[in-house]
Amino acid sequence: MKFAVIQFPGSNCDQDCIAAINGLEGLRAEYVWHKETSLDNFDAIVLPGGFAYGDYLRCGAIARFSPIMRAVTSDARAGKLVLGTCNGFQILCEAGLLPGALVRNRSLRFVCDTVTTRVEVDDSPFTHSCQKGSLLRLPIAHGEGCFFANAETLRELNDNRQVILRYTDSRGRIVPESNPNGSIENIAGICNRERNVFGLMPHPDRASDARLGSADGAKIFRSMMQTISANSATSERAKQVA
Amino acid sequence: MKPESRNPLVGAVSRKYGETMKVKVLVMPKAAVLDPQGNAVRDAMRHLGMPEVRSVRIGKYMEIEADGENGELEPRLHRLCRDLLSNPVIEDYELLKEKPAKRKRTK
Repeated sequence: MKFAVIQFPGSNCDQDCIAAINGLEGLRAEYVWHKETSLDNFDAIVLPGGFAYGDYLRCGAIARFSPIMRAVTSDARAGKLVLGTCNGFQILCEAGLLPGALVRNRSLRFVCDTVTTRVEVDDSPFTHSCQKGSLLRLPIAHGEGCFFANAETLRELNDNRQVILRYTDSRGRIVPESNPNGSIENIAGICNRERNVFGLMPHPDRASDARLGSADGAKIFRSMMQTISANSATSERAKQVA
Repeated sequence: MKPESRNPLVGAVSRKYGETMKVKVLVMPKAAVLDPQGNAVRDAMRHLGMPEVRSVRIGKYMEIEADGENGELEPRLHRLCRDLLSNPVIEDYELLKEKPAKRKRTK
């Protein structure tokens, strides 16, 4: 099973993503330069963290016009799993593949820390190997990670159970003190309505090896792998029936 | 021989286009979006002897020059204001036009 890790000029977590994915048995990750135009040979797409195009103008604003984004968009519309971490999340929002936007942290400071997030949805393609309510310890490192959505969008996100992760304290409670950046309703990660595009500010790629303090991030990559193999088994069966 | 034709730089500046369009683009955060920068500046102004300051909002200001006709460029500029220069989820933009000025001839 092959994952694509997109490299934009200014991506800096591309190697972390490659290492995290290649560290899991059955998964292989390859770099794809942002000037490429096809992702046909890949089962899933990862947009890594960093500062694509220096985050000039707004984070993700220029990256979303990179040639590869046409392929990311069309593959996402076709149902392929797309994961955006940190800058990747910002790019997915700018590209309109995820609702809302990420703005400057309320503290005006760049935050570099390890946070606790709570799994709000355990039947998404990205979290079904986690239990609902379970806690993931994940690193964050961003200056513009304050998730914003207007009231209507926020209601849709909640009604459709699109909020996948929220920042909590170590006991899993949603409190203002556990919100590292001012995100609305402590939102750390959301998916699209079709549930195949997931963006989050924390870095599962930097938490995929217990030697680095946490292997909780690997659960997200593992869930993706299980989803893809389950989907391909279903389509194989469908082919046989037909 | 005219001096401008000897100097490649001058030649590059005096293009075939007769008109230059100058626009200013203002991008402001929407009212519902938290503006922590604006709040920090508001507090600093109050601390510096101006307690009357009620609010500060910080946006972006861009000056853009483009070669060509006003009417033809404007819809394209609006499109880019919406798609690139601002993010409609969090920002509003305003496109302010200057009167088109005839480019001065370089003697």
